[in-house]
Amino acid sequence: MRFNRRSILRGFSQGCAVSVALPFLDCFLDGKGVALAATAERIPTRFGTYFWGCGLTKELYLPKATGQGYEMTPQLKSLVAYQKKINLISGLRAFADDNPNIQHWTGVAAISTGMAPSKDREFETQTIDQTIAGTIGHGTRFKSIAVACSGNKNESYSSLGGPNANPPEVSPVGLYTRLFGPGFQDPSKGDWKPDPKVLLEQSALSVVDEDRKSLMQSVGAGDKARLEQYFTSVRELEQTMAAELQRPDIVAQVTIPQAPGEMPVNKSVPTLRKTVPVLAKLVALGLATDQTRVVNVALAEPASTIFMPGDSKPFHQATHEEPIDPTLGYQPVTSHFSTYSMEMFAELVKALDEIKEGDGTLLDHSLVLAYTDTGFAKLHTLEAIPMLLAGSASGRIKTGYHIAGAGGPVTRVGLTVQQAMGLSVEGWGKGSMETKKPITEIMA
Amino acid sequence: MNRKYAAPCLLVLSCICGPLFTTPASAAKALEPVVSFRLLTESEYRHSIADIFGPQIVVQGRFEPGRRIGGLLAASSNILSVTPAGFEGYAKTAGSIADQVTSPEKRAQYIKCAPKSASAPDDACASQFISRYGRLLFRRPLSDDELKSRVALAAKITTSSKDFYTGLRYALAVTLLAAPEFLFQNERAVPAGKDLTLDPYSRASRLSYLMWNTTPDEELMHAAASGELATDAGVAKEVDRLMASPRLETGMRAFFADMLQLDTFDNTVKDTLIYPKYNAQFGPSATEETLRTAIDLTLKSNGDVRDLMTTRKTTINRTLAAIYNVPFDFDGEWMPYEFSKDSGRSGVLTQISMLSMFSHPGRSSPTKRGVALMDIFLCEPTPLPPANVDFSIVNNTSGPLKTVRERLLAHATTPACASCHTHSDPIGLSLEHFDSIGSPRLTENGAPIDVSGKLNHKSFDGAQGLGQVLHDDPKFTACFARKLYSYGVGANSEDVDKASFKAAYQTFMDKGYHLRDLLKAIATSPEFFKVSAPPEAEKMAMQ
Amino acid sequence: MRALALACIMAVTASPALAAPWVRGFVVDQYEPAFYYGAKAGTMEAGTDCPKGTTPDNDYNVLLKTAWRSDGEIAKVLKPATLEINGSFNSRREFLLSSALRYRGFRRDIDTWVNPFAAPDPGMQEVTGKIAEGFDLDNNAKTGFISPTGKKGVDNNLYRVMGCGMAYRGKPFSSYLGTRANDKMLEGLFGIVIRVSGTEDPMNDDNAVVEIGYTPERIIKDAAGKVVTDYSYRIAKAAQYTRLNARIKNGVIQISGGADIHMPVFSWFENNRGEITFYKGRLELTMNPDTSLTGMVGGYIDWRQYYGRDTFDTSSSAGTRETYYHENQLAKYYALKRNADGLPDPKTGQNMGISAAFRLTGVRAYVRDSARPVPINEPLTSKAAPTYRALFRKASMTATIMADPPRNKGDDDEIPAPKNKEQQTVRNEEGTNSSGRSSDP
Repeated sequence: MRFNRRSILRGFSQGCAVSVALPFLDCFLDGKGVALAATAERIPTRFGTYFWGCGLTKELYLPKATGQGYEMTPQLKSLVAYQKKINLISGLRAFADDNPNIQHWTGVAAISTGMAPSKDREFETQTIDQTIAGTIGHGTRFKSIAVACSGNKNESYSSLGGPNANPPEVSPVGLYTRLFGPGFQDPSKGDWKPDPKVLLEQSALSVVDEDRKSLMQSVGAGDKARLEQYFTSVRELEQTMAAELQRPDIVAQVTIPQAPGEMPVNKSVPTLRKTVPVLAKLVALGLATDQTRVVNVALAEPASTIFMPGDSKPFHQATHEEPIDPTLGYQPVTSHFSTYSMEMFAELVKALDEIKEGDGTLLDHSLVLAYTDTGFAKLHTLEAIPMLLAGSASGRIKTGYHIAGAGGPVTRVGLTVQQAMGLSVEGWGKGSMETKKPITEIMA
Repeated sequence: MNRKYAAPCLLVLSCICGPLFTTPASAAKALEPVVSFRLLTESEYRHSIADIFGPQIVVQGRFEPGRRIGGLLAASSNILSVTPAGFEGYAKTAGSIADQVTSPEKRAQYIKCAPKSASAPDDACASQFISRYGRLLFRRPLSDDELKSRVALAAKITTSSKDFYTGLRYALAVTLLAAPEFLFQNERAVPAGKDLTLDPYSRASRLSYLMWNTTPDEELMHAAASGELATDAGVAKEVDRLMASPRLETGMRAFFADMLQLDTFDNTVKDTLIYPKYNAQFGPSATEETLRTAIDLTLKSNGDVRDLMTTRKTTINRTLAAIYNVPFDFDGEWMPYEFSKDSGRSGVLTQISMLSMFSHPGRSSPTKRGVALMDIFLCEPTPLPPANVDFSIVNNTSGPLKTVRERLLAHATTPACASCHTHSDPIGLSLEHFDSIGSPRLTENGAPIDVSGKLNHKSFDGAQGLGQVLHDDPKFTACFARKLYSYGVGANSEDVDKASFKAAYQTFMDKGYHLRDLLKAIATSPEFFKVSAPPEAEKMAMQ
Repeated sequence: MRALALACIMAVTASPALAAPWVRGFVVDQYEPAFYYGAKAGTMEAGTDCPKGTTPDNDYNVLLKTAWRSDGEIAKVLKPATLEINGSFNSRREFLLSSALRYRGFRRDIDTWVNPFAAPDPGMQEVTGKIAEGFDLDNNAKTGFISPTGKKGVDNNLYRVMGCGMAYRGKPFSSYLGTRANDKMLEGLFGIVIRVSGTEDPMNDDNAVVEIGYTPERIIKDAAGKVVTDYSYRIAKAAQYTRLNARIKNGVIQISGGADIHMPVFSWFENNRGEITFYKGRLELTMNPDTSLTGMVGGYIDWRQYYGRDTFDTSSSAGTRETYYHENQLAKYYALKRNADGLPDPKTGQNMGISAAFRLTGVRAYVRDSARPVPINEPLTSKAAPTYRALFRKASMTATIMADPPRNKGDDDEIPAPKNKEQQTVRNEEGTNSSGRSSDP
């Protein structure tokens, strides 16, 4: 059989047959490329982390179905109202490789830095929120904010690397003061300054433009088109920069409340039920008024010691001491603590979603990574560590999915998150956790 | 590589232009016309930066994905451009490289002069730095205008930022590293009789990227500057030098990786329930094994290229050993291994790479394997199946047809399907003693697997039979030569005229099919630097 | 897929009629004490082994009570959950409790973990059932338990002592420490390989050889967490290794010679791995048709070494045992001593050994020798721990009270780092710092 090879090209794209006959007229639509709208509105995308220790209960949280519309399980009940705005990622694991499996730590560092830690309570490199803040934190008053819900100033998992972590706010009053006390930048007033680096880059790009004419003259017709496209891309970047040189529109409909009163702050679950909603609201307001674009909230430490008053065994101790109920197949008291941990996360999600902003809510313009240290706290396993993502990062993330990770590395989430936040990374993580595969099912 | 990108977009109408500083091009030294404009691949980019700035500079970022044309990613360099998202990626990568180069800790290695003041412009010093790295990055000296505008920019930025090194940083990042003259090989031509041939700097580039997968080194640049590379003797001398170097291995690894389509692993996923041995090490290990085999055979032992179809020698690591189900000796991460005759293995055809890249996640696919091998080794790509094809028989693994052979043969009796399947299926079916991840198996659903086949009226049995048939088939060696030539010039192998590499192929054949002979013959042939068709005709032909 | 693999293996290796040298390799994928569970399900239920169910939580009021410790002191140690200090509850409480638990003797200054005999026997809830897994080590059908298949004379007194405790109680491969140790073993904490070879036939061979030893290779798991077959593992020969002659009858491998068996010890944390010796060791293995391995290893273990390891993995790991694991080191000491049933000391006649058995399963693998020495991962233990163990041993052997070594600041915390990395802060196996330094200011 004879066929005209010239007219046919076989591509290996997943389901995408590419025709070389008309390469230049197929339109390239890269949804990731230009996040800014044609209008004057520029709503920044925010990033957050929520950390809770000691994992979840597989029998109570893991949905059987994957994809969209999965059944909301008992341990995720508090998030039912937000199912369409979150993603659940199960089944990914951390790898320690040649490092010891540092209990209640390897999982934490693996997810937040992509690298297995060699020392307890130390990070091999900066955590993901700092990497992202390095890119999106320009021009805001705070590069990032950390919050310790338990009131313990050692409980912060946002770090530039090594043993030090960014000091957290440890009470509602403290957080309020930091955000809205002295130094509060009212975004509607005139003291916003553009990032000087952007100005410099803009200047430099104009030189590239200069070359355009002479280069275009020397290129053949067949390649003119491609060169033209190159310069179009340059122009697009210049436009992006021009937008960055404009003050961002703060379009959130918020009013700054009065300062909260002093309230007890500790790890008792009833206390957390009071303090976490207040902290969540303040976090949301801080993001909405652009005091910062990156927030890290830690419920408690990795070996979480949240407790119910009257029960002498806090969460962590229960995970080890409580036997597995032979009928239920899990540890009931332990599972309650995991459920409370999800309830607190739901408070944060709620606070973000309650603030209307532009055509959606603050949650829609944010991405929050909720993560923990282990898949099964009783044994300190590194397998099947559950994670959640809340928000759609201004449309860059599709939501409502349950993704089953099938034993892949936890770094797939960190890579996805960074790409969604606009960072130019193709791969992330070290050793067995090195990956170039973001979770494409949820990437817009 | 993220294959979600579709074909590049072009706005044929003029774009909205911002402030354009239009200085007429200097009449003194006009650059020759660019006849070919090839986007650097990711590995070419990385190797170039490593050679220009040293391996201590970290290159991180996203690159435009390539597209396989005529079986080679190298050919897409000639049709790809830079998308907005891609340019953003390049700009960020460029910024990060420039940050490192101009950082206080590292700058002494790169900026050999000291400015009179660290907070004010110093055109002399800036000029030194920009012209040096401009030449290395553009792979030719900067023109006077190019240098002038960049030095002026550096001064302007220095003034705004009050820091000399910031000025250099932006000049380097934006006007050099992100410039099209770096990101693309701008191949320029000069007349040669009634044809055009590449100018010496373009020759230097083309040779360097073919042989070493990197930017031309100083000696090549000198050979270009002196005009030596415009002569056949000069070219031959450099070709010998480049081929004598151990760096040839890097270049040939890049070629084999492209020709053998090893990047397919980026999209290969196996069902871990069916194949518990599949894990994250799988792709990189299998890739490395095949590259080592190819290099060991064709370069290190200077063997007969045809033996790629039949050799049972390979190099494996612990992960691969488990999949091949052979013992591993822990003498190092990799150990040489020779499969026994009765293993049924034959050359790269039965390495885990070839077997698994062209299979489904949960089972093998003789059709995929056959189609891929025909494309890769015989230069015979297969058209897509018709739109209304019915896959139900093939996919029914629990029906009366137990083996995939039985199911495929049932299919191939339909005339619309048979035309292609009778070509590709026999190849794939002969490999059915190896499952979707390359492990051995003798039965399928309880029935023994028949691996006999026929190709061009030659009967064979199993992979070893197939390997021998391909070994003896002149189409394989001709295809190999075609691919190497196309790789070197960045052309669609299907469109390349046989005459372009005929002489080289003859040499290759006569001297016993050694890669070095073919490579040298191609690189020293006039066709290698000939600009074949004018761009106009090329564009028309593609429509 | 397994059936196909089996078909392939059988096709390649079956040679029933012809005697020929053969080798089979295995990597151990499950390993734990062989403690028979006498209830139907779960890990806590009353059963024939422990009619009262699993040993409950300690009542610390009882444990801490001594002649010299006032109720007020005890109350202070046991302050309830709502503690101050920035809500950092657990590590502080554990530290206070551990520190107090260390001293339960007749005098305030005696460290009773080192000198358990300086306090009265609190009593151990021992196994009272009749059934146990293990070997008849003394070749006396009258002494010991009855095996689940009815064989008499099974000696497993370690089971008698430890079998009702929460750490080990449960159906096979379901107890707390059993599952935990397994998870860690499969994550790279240590590895055990077994190589069986012979000259006749894998099913019946009078000249078989069994080697058991440590492997430095990481055990490879699939996405479902199961150990993958056909990987290669080196076997160490310098330590944690034994080579034994064996006989195989109908696929069951038996070693009855009574040679000492050295092999990796059951371990769940970096500081308690190492070597164990089963004196007068016994080994029974079955190579199953599906190419897996099932087996049991046993013998007498040095009971003082067992106590020492449990009590002093770090200088204060006893604290974890007595809190998280609901154990009582003093009771354990007395029970071990009381139930020691082998290896009589020639001088004193006292039994130095206690009978024990461990069960294991394995997955087919290639077990490889290495021309170069095979690296062995030593336990990461604090400087102080071996000192404490030695002190205990001496105290116990001589019935003399030994004083604690001088405690320098940071002693308890310094353990050598893995490979070339710097020192880490020690934590007890539960992940909190028992010196109280986790998250306190």
